[in-house]
Amino acid sequence: MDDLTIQRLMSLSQLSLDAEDKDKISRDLDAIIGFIEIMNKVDTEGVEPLAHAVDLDQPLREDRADLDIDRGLFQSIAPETADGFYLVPKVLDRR
Amino acid sequence: MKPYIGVRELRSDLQAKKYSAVELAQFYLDRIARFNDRINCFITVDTESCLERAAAADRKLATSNSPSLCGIPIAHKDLFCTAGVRTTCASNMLRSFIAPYDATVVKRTSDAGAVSLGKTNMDEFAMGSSNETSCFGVVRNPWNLQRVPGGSSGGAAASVSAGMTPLATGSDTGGSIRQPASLCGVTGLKPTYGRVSRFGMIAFASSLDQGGPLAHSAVDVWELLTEMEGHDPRDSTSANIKKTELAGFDRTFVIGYPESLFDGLDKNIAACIDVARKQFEALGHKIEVVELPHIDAAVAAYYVLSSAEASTNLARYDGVRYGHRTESSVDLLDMYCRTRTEGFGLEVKRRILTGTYSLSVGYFDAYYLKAQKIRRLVRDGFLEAFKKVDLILAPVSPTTAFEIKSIKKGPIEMYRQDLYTIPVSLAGLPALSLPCGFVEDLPIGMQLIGPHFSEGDVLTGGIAFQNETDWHDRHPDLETTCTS
Repeated sequence: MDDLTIQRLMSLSQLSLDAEDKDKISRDLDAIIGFIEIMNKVDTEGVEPLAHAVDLDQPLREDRADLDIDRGLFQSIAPETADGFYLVPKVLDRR
Repeated sequence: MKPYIGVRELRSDLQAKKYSAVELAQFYLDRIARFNDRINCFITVDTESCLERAAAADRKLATSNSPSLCGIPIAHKDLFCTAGVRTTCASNMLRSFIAPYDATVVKRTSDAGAVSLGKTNMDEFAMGSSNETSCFGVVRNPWNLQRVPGGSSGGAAASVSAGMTPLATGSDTGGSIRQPASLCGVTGLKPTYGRVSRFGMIAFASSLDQGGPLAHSAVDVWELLTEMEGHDPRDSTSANIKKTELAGFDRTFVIGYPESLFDGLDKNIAACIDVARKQFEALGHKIEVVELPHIDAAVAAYYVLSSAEASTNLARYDGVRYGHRTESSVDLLDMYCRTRTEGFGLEVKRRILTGTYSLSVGYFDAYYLKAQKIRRLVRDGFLEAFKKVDLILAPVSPTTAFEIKSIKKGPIEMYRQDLYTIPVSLAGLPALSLPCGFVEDLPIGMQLIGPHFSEGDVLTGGIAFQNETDWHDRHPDLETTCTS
């Protein structure tokens, strides 16, 4: 796997790797891709993809607000909040 | 008091007041305090609230209608959210995460009176087959401390095996209940996908993840399953079906024997399962050879699908709403990237990158869609076999418990550990892993696989086998293994 592909995957995944890990994972991904090539030995012509193995109805619950949810409780576990909002580093530099 | 007691005996002892729920909880807490340093199967032990819950159970036991697991200790895999007690998923990303609510499995077992001892160790985000990817360190196999307990529910299986709890919850995506149960000599069930609610169970691969019970016997597994299962309005993939009922013990099954699966299997393990096969025949069950196609391709398809789902599920760990956030960053994207890089371990990163690759433009058809097509062929292969047979008998793991850090050649060697469990997961079927012998003083297990929602038959077959054998009644001697 070339460096450009790894860089692209890291960017899509929001991950960065140091040189040592990048080298290791690059070799692992090569091995994994080699391994999954075994799928090509199976003739899947005309076979429909299967997303879920069990044929089930999907019973949806009634669409109504659940007033038990306590915003303060849920935000108490956030790294940084203010006035009921989640705080993150600034996105735009106002100059 | 002794560490290895079944649910029915515990229930009758508690009701007869031979000991109180508090005394029982304290007994297991003492055992955890004594041995967990060596085995490392608990990440968090919740002593104070455990004893409070046990005291509440004692008050209920004094009434005439106490619930079915009242006062019986349980350990939850550390991916089930527990309000007020941290849920780490064995990851630095969630090292100090305290969920604001209980998972449905936790709530239901608690409503049934079970007393939680704490949270068990696991592979990080349930990605692994040896418990070596936990950021809290490897769990050691109670039968031999130099060996792994299997994974990802390694802490759950080891805690039951070590007599630190009579019941444990686990989760199984590609074998994560069955393989550690096999390697630790305990009984564990992967239910049909949809039998047990996934609400509050931290997601790895949503189309495959399924919670399930581990215990000393198939009958105890059934006792716990009936309190975990059932439709949950908060999980729209949970099935609306009636509770698991055991079949009558006069029921005889046609049991499928997939001969080709045994071809490459270690001869000593194959010999143990062959003895079990003959025991089933002696019990009056009929054995019939079946074919299960595309098993080799199933492992590849599983790693494509589960990694793709993982890369999507784990996108939520961004340092905004909960979990780890990096201390210094220059802007929002930099914060995401540093947070995720610091929070995830190497195996989790490997799976996210694999999943991202197979979902990216240009590769989607070749990998993801191809894997979904193979998934259909694997499932249909099972459905075809189940036209002829009621259950299928199969190996669980290609090896007994292997030495810690002995799998070094790369991820593929580890992924192959799940060769026999993955096809069942892709097909969404229920499968019971139960002990059937020993090879060089290490336990091995076998699987009984059934059609969708046939847990009653699978467990009846397992109970019938355990009524005639004592493999599940053999336990490691911690006095020796932990003090030598």
